[in-house]
Amino acid sequence: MDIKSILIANRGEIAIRVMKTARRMGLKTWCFQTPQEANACYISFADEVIRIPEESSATLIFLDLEAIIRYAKVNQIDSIHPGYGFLAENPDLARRCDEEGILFIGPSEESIRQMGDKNEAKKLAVAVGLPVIKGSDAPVTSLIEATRQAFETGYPVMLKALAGGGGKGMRVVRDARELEQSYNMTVNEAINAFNNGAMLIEKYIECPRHIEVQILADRYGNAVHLFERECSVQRNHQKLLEEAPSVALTDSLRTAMTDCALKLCKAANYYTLGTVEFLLDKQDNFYFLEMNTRIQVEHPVTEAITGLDLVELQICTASGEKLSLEQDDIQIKGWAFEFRVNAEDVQANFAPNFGIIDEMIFPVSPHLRVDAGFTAGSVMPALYDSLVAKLIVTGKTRDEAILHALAVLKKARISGIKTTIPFIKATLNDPDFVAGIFDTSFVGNMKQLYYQEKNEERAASMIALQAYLEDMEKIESNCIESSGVTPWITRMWNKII
Amino acid sequence: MAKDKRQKYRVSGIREFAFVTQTFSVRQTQRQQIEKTGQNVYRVELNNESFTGEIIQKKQNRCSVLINGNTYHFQIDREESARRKKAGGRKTEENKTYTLKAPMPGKICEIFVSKGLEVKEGEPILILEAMKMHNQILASENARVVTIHVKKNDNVLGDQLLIELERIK
Repeated sequence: MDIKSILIANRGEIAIRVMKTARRMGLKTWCFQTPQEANACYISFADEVIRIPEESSATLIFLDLEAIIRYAKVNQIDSIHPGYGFLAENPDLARRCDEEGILFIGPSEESIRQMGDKNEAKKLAVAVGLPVIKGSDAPVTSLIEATRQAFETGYPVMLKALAGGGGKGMRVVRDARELEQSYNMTVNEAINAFNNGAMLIEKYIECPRHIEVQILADRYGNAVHLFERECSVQRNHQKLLEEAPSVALTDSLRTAMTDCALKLCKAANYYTLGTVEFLLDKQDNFYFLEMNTRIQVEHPVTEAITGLDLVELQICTASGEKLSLEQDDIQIKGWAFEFRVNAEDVQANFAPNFGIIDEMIFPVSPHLRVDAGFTAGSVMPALYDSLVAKLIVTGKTRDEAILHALAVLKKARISGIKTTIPFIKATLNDPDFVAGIFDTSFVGNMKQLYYQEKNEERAASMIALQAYLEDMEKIESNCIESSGVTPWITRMWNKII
Repeated sequence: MAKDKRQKYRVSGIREFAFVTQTFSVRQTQRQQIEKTGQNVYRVELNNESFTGEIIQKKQNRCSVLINGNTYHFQIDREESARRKKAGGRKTEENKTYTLKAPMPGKICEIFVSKGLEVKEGEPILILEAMKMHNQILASENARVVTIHVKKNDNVLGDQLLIELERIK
């Protein structure tokens, strides 16, 4: 299928990321301009903009499946790229695209449906011989069932929403007394987020590493893997930074895991990009967790170590091109980190810290790629996720990449909002992290979540005193300004805890 | 102008710092320098290390500073009054009531307590949903519920007063 135009049914940095490649491929790029974010950065990257009228702002266009299809039809757009989040893993979008003769940039409706149902995905994994975590083999829909299943599996167990994803609808239950409350909370969360309260119960693996394999396949059964990504640095199952490759994998373990990922992909007749997630325990046993059927937030680390453009490969394989890459063509070159700069207040338990970005400066470096959805002066709307920018830092080795990252972060400047940069610095200064000794319990065990330079608080106290003295001087000389505060201070006023 | 010739100040945040000031300015030495570089922006040199910080909140003698992406909240007192406050502080420390504030903006999903109920330290008081995650808010000490200011499904702002409690021994 030869396509000429593409509608990006997404916003922020991923919309920009997709449009950059699509434009290079000669496709006409389309995006939505929403009333919620009318001046967003991503809009200026599109060739054509579809304006969403104010009156329809009750539902987000990015979640309005039929409206997206309608706009694509009216404007005769050939293809739709869903990005990540929103409708990216909704099989109905793929189905409706098929029905209307629009190319969906992603796998088939069946693949999304199969992998989106955790129980179905696990069944398939078992059928093709992948190791899985012991637990329920059918969805659990009542507390009685949950109690029985948890007892059979043995505590601690993990409650997982059948339709879950993105770290939502998951909870660890340590013993039977916790089960009732945890079960009810997780079901509620799952109903709110995914409109499906069914649960899976699995043995909880203590302190595993989270490692995922990127795969790429065409519609003709050819598939390759693009190695692994290490995503163990998480908080509440939300990834905070990722790297590729992983220090935890020996060559034989890497071969075993990537083989499993490809086996699953072939058994599912999967095509385009996909990610097979695994947990790796202390004894180097790995278990299939789930498969993500979209482009991932952390795809740039894979691009950095393989030199490939994943969005281009996604579009090509979706549109029916045969895969021209052989496995041996793909080699790991160097090391890459991705740091998620989120608008969150690390000192206040990562509470969202939305607002206006007054200043955002990153140094220019051959080792740095910045994928940002905002620039200085942009408003971070509270409506969406808190991702401000992704910093992808590379080096020949892991140690070199860490040094480059520290240099980049030292020069990075963001003001107006608080971000996760102090957390990233704390991680990069942690001896265990630097030595590669960490797992998913890393963030929970950190002594301090934000990095402080020596003398930093003293410097801050000096500034506070100086500003106070200047006010005193004004009072004494009777020339106090009318308000005494700048608009910027007023804006930040309610955000500081 | 003559009033503030030379003063001693205590600036207390997480830690406490003492400074000598001279005519409305922190006394500068070779190892300690400060310069205003913009509206609310200052540059500090401390032992040959350079810091840039911004004033983000100022109210009477309280001041918050953003530096390297971290915020610090300070209370500024003259040396004498700081000492006086410390001495007097112990008597009023027996504050019986304390308040529960929203740690982040969100929606109240569930309230487990009612007025007059006694809660033990670590027991859940309510569930606050923020960014689609349910967060349990726990009692930080043994207490009795005095007033509940919110109800189920209320949307709350960060730092909003939720519940008042009374400590019990």
